[in-house]
Order: sequence, then structure tokens, then C-alpha cells
Amino acid sequence: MIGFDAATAETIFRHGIRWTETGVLVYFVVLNSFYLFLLLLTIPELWTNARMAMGGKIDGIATSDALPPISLIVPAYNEEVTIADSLRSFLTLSYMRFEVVLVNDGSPDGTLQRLIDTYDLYEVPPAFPVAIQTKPIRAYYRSRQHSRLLVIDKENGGKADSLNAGINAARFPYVLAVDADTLIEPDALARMARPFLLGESVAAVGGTIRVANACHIEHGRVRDARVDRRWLPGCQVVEYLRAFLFGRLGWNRLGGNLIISGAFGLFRREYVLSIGGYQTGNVTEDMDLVVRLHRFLHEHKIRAVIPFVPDPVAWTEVPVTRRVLRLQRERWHRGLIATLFSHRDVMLRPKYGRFGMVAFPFFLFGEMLSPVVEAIGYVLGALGLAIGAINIPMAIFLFLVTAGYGMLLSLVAVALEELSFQRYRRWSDFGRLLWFVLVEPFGFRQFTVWYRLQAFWRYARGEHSWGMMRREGFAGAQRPTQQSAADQAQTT
Amino acid sequence: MTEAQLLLIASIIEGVLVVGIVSVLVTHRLYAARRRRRMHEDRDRITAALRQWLVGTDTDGVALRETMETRHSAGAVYQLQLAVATHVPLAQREELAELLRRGTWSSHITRQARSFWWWRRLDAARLLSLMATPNDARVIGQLVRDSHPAVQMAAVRCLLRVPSDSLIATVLDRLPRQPVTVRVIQGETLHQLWTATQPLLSERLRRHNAPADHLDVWINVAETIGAPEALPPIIALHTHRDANVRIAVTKALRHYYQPGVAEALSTLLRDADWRVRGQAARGLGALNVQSAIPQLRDALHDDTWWVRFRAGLALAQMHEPGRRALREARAMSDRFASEMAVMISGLSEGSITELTEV
Repeated sequence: MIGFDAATAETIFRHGIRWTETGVLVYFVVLNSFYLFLLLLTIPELWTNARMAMGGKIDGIATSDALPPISLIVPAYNEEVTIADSLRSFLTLSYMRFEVVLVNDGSPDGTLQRLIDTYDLYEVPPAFPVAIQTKPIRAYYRSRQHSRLLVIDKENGGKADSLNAGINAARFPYVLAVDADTLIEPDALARMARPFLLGESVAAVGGTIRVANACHIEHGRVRDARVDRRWLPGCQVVEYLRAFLFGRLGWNRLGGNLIISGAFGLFRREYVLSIGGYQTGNVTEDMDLVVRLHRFLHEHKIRAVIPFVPDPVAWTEVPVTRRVLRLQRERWHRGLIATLFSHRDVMLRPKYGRFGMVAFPFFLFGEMLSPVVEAIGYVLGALGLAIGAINIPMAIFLFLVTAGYGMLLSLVAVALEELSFQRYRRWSDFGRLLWFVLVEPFGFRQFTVWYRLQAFWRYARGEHSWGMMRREGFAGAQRPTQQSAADQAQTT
Repeated sequence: MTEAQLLLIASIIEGVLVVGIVSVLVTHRLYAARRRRRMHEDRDRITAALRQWLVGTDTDGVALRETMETRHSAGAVYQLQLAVATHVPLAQREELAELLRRGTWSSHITRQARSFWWWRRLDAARLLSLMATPNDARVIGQLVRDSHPAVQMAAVRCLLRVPSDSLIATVLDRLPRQPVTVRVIQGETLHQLWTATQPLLSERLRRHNAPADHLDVWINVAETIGAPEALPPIIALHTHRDANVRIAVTKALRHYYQPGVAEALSTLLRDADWRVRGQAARGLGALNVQSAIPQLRDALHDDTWWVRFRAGLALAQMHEPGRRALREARAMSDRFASEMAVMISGLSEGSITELTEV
């Protein structure tokens, strides 16, 4: 047996810390270089999309017969206070052919009665084929006022189960999953349908989610886009811009996105039915669906794309307290781990093309493991400082350079927004965006790393809970809702 | 190189990039505001100049020429196109075209039809749509065949001024390969030129060797135009071997209140493809073919939900006889048929109208 004296052990320990730190640094250099690569891919995509978004006569196209008919599936749980207004905003979208299938997921409050009273619903027989098994349906209702509306009342089974019930009853070949508390811009459907108009074979389309906190909202429409002054929602504005404008757009040229937000994603119904619909029991059912969809397309050699289009916008409320943010981020990451783990056989299989060779490994190493590596970096950094293995000024310098790089990527995301869509017209909002780019790496990022780390522990314990999320409400009222599905903000 | 030097270089690069990007963003904001202001100025000046010309205070169009020669924004031609569409009556468009052709600025813009940049070619196409003459047919042909969809769409508008058969034939032959948006917009123009388009279209529909993916697009154009001359070749295609062609035929037939249509639709209601049967039921409802009520009632037993749904809606469109058939269907032993009849019977007149339109 080889024995070490204390000095040798300390030397080995110091070297160990330094090497691990170097490893962490290399990990982030590689990861951030990949983000830079994604950014380069984003630029031509955004340029094309922005020119089409500005040049297109969306109003004219929205009433065109050429657009594919779409069924909006809206799962609702305990939405009594806002459901009538939300539904009105969906029913008045500018689009030629669409229907709204609202699924009341056994809400114990008066959601259903409010709908019956407001929309003059009458019960109809279940004249719909059941392609995906769901919890028992109590009744189907149609409205005497709006022929576009179908309401399904079913026993509580969760969001995925409600979406499946809606897909069963949908009449049209494309289904748009949308949260009841999401605000869709009137022309968003027409913008979302652009890939179809360009003649592409499309399996699913993702749109942009933006932060609605602090925006001026009237009758379910965002009239004036603002950036929240508060730290948590403000940082999330930048985070969402980064996640949607270059995180996802860049993937259009790299084999498609793995994440299409459950709060605003369009899917070809035929393919969704072929893969058995949403999987109940998965806390991020949207990501799981997209991964299964990719697998299905590759396994059946179907040449259909899953693009992300940046200009159709839906607005959602983000957490304003750390407790709610923790619940949300922990759940998102737990869902990511569960999905990647259950589809691990896709990893590096040439059969799955760029999806298996690039996207999947990236999400595993770059997204799933990033909080672990980052946490190791922080812990070893602190340890190294404590025992003097790391030079203090150098450590601070290194931290600032690393944070500066993240800041730079966020700034680029803001630049992409400014140079393309420029939703935030006021100089004060522009100033706030820059401010949150500056402060986001200090505090907000570390909190989210900690929340995401907790997901590993909970996943190992086999937890499947969603937790109750308390939202402020667009009108300022506090109300509990089921958490919206994963708007997985890929933190960079 | 030491770690410290490396970090220093990285931090300097980051700092420069941050300052650079922020400066670009601020400059862009200022520039965008200026561009918006200039665009509004151009729009106002163009509209004012056009008004002066229209009311006869500037018969030579001096103000318009000066405005276009000193235009500030890249979108001036588009603004001109909008202003003409909004303010100038059709009777005065030719006179205006003469005026536009006299300006040196206009020849400068039309020369851009060969530009490398698509937005310049787009400007040329837009301007030509206001002032083209038969002499420009070659340039228009080139723009119609452009690689950029925006240019193609704008160029087709030139055909309204130069409705040459060869250009229309080019558009028709290229139409099946176009993205849907381009197809819809070009189809609208062809609709406006229906007298010239119709013979060319009928000739194509009669071609025995025409590919199926071309035929369905041409049938869609014929459906938009709705001229009775196109009906015989369309009806002749209702037994075509390709289901997409039969679907297109079925959709088109519902716009024709002509003899032979009801019979063809009744045949199509027995088609092997459910999409054709669904569209046939829709067509029979739209044309209110009451003689088809028994067949539509039978279609309520169809295996496919869509066909049952369309048959139910068609019956609901046929006033009392159809409604009576629906009431009778509610008592049918076939659960699917009776449930569909119950659901359709509950819909209001407004809902029936809305559902049959989509």
C-alpha cells in the first residue's frame, strides 16, 4: 500500500482542484463556442424570417383559403375567473379556418358553468372517434353563439390527458396546443402557417413565447409591450429572448428543435396520433412529444421539418417570486432529464441523422448536465479559494470573463430582437433590457442552477408532481393554475 | 502566454464587443426612427403630389416627378403603388402611366429589373405594374420567372397591363411548382384576367398527358374563375385515377349551378377516397341538390367521421326536407349516424353557415 504524507495529499488535492477547474472551463468554452455557432446559424434564419414578417401582407394572408385549417386545443383547470375572456381572445383570432377545442380537466371550480352561461353551450353526443385513450369524458358541448367552439368536460387527468382528449375531438389536420392563460397575438396563426405556405412538408411548428408581465393588456390582447422593472421577471425577459431568438432559431439548420413550447406549438394531428398523443405522467409532455415525433419521422423515413418561426408571438406570465420560479425550473429540468433518459437509445445513432448525432447529445451534455458542471465549478472555486489553491484576483477575473461571455450572448439576443422585430419600442424598455443583460449573470443564473440541480434529486426519487403555481394574473388578481408546460428556456 | 494574459485578452475582446453592440443598437434605433419618419414623409409627399395631379392643379405631374426623383426611402415605389391603388380611379390609370413613363427616375428603376438584389428587382416589378406597355413584355417575362417569390408575385400584376397570351401561359405552366402563397396571389391576378386565361386553362385541362399535380392546381384556378366554359373539361376529370385531381374536381363543382354537376357529385359521393366523398357531400349541400337527400342520408352511415359530418351539414343546408331527413336519422339504429344527426340538428342556422364555409 502506498502511503501519502499530508503535504503530498494537499498537493494532489490542489492539483485535482486546478485540473477539475480547467475541465469545467473547457466544458464552458466548448459549450459557449457551440452557442456561438448556433448564433451564426441564427443570423440568416432571422434575416429571412424578419424580412418575410415585415414584407408579408399578413392581414390578406390570414383570410386566405390557402392556409391549413387549425384546431386550437386549450386545456383548462380552475380557470373560472379568466376563462371567458381568454376564450374570447382565441375565438377572435384573424384566421380563415380554425376551431377552438376547450378541455375542462375536471376543474372543481365553476369553469364549466361559466362557459355554459357565457357561450350558450348545449350538450352534443360524442360523435368523435377516440384514437387515444383518456380519462372518461363527461360531456361534449357546442356553442349556439360560436360554431368554432367545442367544449369537452372530462375527469381530471392532467394536462397531457386533456390535450389528448382535445386531439381526439379535433376536426382539422393541424392542432395548436395552447395554455388557457396564454395570450396569442391576433395574427399569430397566420404567421405560424408560413412554413406551409412556402410549400414545406411540416410536422410541427414552434412559435415565440414572450413575457407578458408589466405589458399593457386589454381584452386579452397585449397593446403595449413593456419590460418589467422587477428583477426576476426582468431577467426572464432577457432569458426568453435568448432562448427563443437564437437558441431555437439556430436549430432550424441543425436538424430541428427538441423543444416546442406546450404553451404555443402547432403539430400535424396525423403524426401526433401515430405516436399515441401526449404521454401522461411526463412533467414536460411537450418536449417528450417532440422527441417522439423526431424519432417517428426518422424511423419511418418521413421527410418533414419541425421549424421554429420567430414572429408568431404568444405572451405568458412568468414567475415573480423565487419560490414559484424554483418550482417551475425544477420541473422543467426534471422533465428534461426524464425525456432524455427515456430516449437515451437515440444518442449518437446515425439512423436518427442530425437529431441523434447533434441535437440529442447537445441537450444531454449542454443542457441537462450544465447545472452540474456549473455547480462543480462554483464549489471547487470556493474550495480552492479557501485553501489558497486558486489566486483570488485570478478567480474573480475568471468569473467576470465567464459572466461577461454569457452577458455577451444575452446582448446578442437583445440585438437580434432589436434588429428584427423591435417589439419594445420605448427607449426606457431598451435601457431596462440592457440593464437586465448586465445583472442576469449575477444571482439569477446561480439561483436557476440551484433549482435545476434539485431536479436530479427529485428525478432520482421518482417524483412526478407539477406543484401549484401562483400567478399574479394579467388583471393583478392572484389565482392558482396548473403550471404551463415547458417553455424550456435554454439558459446559456 | 500566461493565464492572466489570456484572460486579459478575452476581457478586452468582450468589452469591445459589448461597447460595439450597444453602439450599433443605439445607432440602429436612431436610424430606424429616421427611416420611419422619412417613409412617412415620402408617403405624404407622394399622396399630396398625386392629389394635385388628380384635381388638375399639376397636370404635368411636376410635383410627382420631383417627389420621386428626391425620394428618401427605399419603400417609395411601394408607397406610390399604394397611393395609386387608393386614390387614382381606373379611368385615369393609363394617363398616369404615361406620366410615370416620362420620368427619368422611372427608367432608372425599371433598369433595376436585372439587378443582383431582389428588392431592386421587386421595385422594378412594382413600378412596371403601374406603367408597363407591350414593349416591356420581355422584362416582365423575366421578372415572372424570377427566383424570388416576392418579385414573381409583383411581376404577375404587370399582366393586368400587358395581358399577353405567352405571359399568361408562362404563369399557368409555372403555377403548380410555386409555393402556396405565390400560387394564391398569382391565381387572383389570373382571375382578373379571366377572359384571356380561360381558353389557355381549358386547353391545359383537356391535355391527356397532363401530370396530376398540375391538373389539380389548374382546376383550382378554374374554380376561382368560375367560368362555365371550363366546366366540361372539369366534369370530364371526375373519374381521373388520381384522388387529388378528383378532390379538386369535387371542390370546383360546388361553384357551378349547371346541368350535369349534380350527377357528377352524386357519383363522387360513392368514391373510394373518403376525402372525395366528404367534398362531394359538401358540394351537394352548397348547391342544395335535394334529389341527393337519400344518398346523403346514406352517407351518415359512412365509416369516416368527416363524410358523416359533411353529409349532416349538407342535409341541414337543404331546408325542411333536409332537416326532416336529419330528424329521421336521429332514430337510426346506427349509433354513429344518429349521434351525428343529433349533433348537427342542435346547431343554429348561423353555425351551419359558418361550418359549411370552412
